[in-house]
Amino acid sequence: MHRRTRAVPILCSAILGFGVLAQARPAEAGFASPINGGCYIAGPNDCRIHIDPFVININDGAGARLIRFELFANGSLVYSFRTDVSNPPGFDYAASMPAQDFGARCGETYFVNLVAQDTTDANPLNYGQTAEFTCPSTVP
Amino acid sequence: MNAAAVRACVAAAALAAVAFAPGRAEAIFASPIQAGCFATRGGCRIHVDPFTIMVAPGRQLESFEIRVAGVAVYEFRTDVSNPPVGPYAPTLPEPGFAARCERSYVVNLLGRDSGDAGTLNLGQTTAVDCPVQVPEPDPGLAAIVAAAGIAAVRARRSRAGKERGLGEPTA
Repeated sequence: MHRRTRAVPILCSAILGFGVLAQARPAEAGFASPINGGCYIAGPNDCRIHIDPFVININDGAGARLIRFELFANGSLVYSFRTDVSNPPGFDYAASMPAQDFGARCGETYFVNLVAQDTTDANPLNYGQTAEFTCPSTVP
Repeated sequence: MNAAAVRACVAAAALAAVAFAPGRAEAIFASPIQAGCFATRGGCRIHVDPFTIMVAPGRQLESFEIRVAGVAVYEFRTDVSNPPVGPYAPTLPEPGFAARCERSYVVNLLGRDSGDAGTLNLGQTTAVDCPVQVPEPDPGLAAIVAAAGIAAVRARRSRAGKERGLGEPTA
């Protein structure tokens, strides 16, 4: 009997402690594999930004689904992507990039960043960013 | 132990010390760089075959650059907060890189990882010859060729029709 009365508060505190710990754990945010890219010259005054394939890791453990992602060059939107409204992907998503790449100005310096949002994100978040690169200015 | 054996032993120890020195920097390197030049209606372009850049253990790839005749045609940077570790095989732009027809070019790849003080030459082709530009069709000439083609087809059909008519049995 004495042993049982001592066990009850220990059990209660253990349950409470677990509850506090579970609540204190921060929500897992989505992230992406590195965003790597550059700029090339395809013709006279025809420069383009090429981004290597990347994977958007959504918070699938929490049942998240990818809603959207966007690519920005120097803060300007270059690619806006939306997923299916009724059946959005609930897994890590490897987007394919446009074969024609993204238009850019020759001789200009850019950085590219990826902004994405899954159903557990209140707002779109920055998922990755390249260092600055400069577009070629002349045809060799 | 004779003197020759001692000298051999010392030389082997010195070589081992150089080879396995803890501070010895391992350089970034890449698989061979192979490229060619082709003509399109819009001019000539250089196509580079896929390659892999190997960085030293524990280092991260920071950048690479493709140069044609010493001029940068592709400048590439990796993620600022999460740069790739280990071998990196970039995808290359599908259209290829601008070049001038009937010229020869050497293509080389430069790269840099987080342990390099500067950018290093990772590979280079011999001179690649760009072909003659694809001739743009002359609209006047194209119209004449098309008209001649149509006339030839009509003539063949009428000849074939006449031959069929001659061979058919009469009632």
